[in-house]
Amino acid sequence: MEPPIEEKKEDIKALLLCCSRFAFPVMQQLAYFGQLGAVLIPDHCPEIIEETREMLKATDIPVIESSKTAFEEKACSAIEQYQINLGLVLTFSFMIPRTVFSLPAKGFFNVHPGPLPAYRGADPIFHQVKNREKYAGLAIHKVDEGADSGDIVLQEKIPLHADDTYGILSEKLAVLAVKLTGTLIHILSMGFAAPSRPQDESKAHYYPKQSNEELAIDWLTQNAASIIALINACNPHNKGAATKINTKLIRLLQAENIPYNDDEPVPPGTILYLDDEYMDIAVIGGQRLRVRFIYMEEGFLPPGALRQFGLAPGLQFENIYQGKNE
Amino acid sequence: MNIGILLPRSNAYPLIGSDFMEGIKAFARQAGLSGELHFFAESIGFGGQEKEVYAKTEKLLLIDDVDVLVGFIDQKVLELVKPLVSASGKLMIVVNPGANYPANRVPQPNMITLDLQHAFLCALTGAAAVNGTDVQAGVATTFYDCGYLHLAAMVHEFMAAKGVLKFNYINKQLDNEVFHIDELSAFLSANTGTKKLLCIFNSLYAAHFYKALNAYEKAGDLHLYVSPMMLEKKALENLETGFHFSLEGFMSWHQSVPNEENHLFVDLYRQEMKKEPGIFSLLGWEAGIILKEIYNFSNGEYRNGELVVEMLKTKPLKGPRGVLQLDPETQFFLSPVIRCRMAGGSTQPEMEYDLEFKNEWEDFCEKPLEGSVAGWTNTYLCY
Repeated sequence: MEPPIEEKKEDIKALLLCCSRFAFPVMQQLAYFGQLGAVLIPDHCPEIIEETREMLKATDIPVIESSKTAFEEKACSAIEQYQINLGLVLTFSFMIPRTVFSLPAKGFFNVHPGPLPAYRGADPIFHQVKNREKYAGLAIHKVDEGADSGDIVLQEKIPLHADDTYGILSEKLAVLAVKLTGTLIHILSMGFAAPSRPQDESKAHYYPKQSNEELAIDWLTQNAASIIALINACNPHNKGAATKINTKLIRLLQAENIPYNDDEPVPPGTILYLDDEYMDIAVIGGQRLRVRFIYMEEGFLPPGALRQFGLAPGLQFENIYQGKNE
Repeated sequence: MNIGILLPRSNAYPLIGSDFMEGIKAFARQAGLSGELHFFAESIGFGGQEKEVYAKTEKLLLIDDVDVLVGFIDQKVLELVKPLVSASGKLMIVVNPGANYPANRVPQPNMITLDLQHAFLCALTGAAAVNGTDVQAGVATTFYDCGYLHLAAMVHEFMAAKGVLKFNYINKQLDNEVFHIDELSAFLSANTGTKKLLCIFNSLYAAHFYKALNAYEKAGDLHLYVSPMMLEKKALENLETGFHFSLEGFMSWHQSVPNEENHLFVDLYRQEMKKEPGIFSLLGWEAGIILKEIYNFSNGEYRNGELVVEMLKTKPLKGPRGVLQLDPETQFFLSPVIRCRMAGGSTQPEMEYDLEFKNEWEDFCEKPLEGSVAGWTNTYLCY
């Protein structure tokens, strides 16, 4: 019988590129295991830079901020200076040139919070929630010159519940990212190359950054489930799904579908009931939506606050954008 | 069709790998497929050396270029080879006793699992242990057995049903030592209110445990809720005049399962091979059934794992346990279950065959693992 293969681990020093809190659990894991060489964050994300510096203050791990124009030079310099052999991207706003992604010996990988190739684009979490997927996914792929188009190394899905918000899903996927990056690093540290598979271009879909119109409720075409999904997809990053009434912009932050068949259907968007705790709104198909939290310029409020502005049952929410219900 | 097989080793069950391999080959022979199915086997030791498992998997998939991979490995190590298997696009049939389960039940599209559902059966047993007004129980297990999730499954279900756990007894003796349960007996003597025991022992230790517990003076007061391996023939080998205590539990297969496929399996082993089939021969035999289905019905596309999985989802397979059906959500094969009960003093277990627990399985799969999870990385029974 052959002797067992000896377990030897190679050192990993990663450069982490990020611009959101989604990266924090992976960052903490890498720092804990001594595998984080440096972090680079775009200079238009001051909060993330500050929080990262706070998180890593007990370590000597550098946190580099960079403009778009200085990125290539700063990234290449960091890779050389901190003896980086692995690149990891967890939500990042600059394209990564070949001069950067080809440098680390063990490769450059993007941890993408959506299944590939179906959810390419900058904000797959929003679109997965909005599209009411049964499962949400996370993929780790090799960085290439395209947008989320590199060969897939690891991909996993988790159940996406009807009441999962953008924030909740983001947190769940961040935890999944810890697991999958752990597996990737384990494989690389054993001295193996990351196995990968090209994406099936026939199944690829690229979601551009969502427009304001996409973030607004369309009372004439969206049913209760679709509106709730939009509300969840906009919570918290857009402070809710947008609508208006009497020229006042309001964002709905949470809603549930109340089983109800109105005998005499009223126009969708009509307020059917309003008290201190909740507001019921008519939606197409004789359904009604129960809303418990809203956001206005005046603050995060229960719907009852709307009564101060003259809102009452019988008034109707409208679409914000022309062509959506006119 | 070329089939790669990752074979385990075990100190406790030295024949684990050969029994499994023999099961596949025995099925292929009786199905007339010996010339069509070609096997490439690699030993992965106890299954806990990750680099070794990875290297052997890579060899089978890339160098031997097998069409289908059958891996007798556990969930933790499986995580590591998933990228390799996904990159290959080929089908992997994961085989193990089912004492562990994945943290995430959503499967990879080209991977399926054939196991003995041990953790799920332990969950059913834990829930069954809360009946009537007596909700107290103690746990009795071994240092080795408690490193897998079947214990967590049994205890979680027991406590979820409002059971109250009074103590944990973990036996740490090696097999060649004189087996005793002195600490457990002392505890039971001092706490006579606890009459139920949730027990998880593999069949080797189960035989020692039963014998030692039977010598406890108040054994007749006890009722045991036991793991599947404690119901196997080997575990009950000291059962000559019956135990003083009573016991019950669930198992996925027994030699006495009354169906044609089981008769074929058991008779072939007894008459042609002159031996008794066990759970590892069963897993091999069932892997053979699946391979036959793939060979016959994938229209030569057996290298396309995703396509094969979709085909298997539509085909219930008849085997020694009854009907094996691939659960479309988890891609685990499900089969009927046996409830086994034995009254104190009885020498013959009472079996209820063909029980279905589909809702319980769905509930079980929906419960996420909570908190930190630690345990052995090698395959259950491989140590």
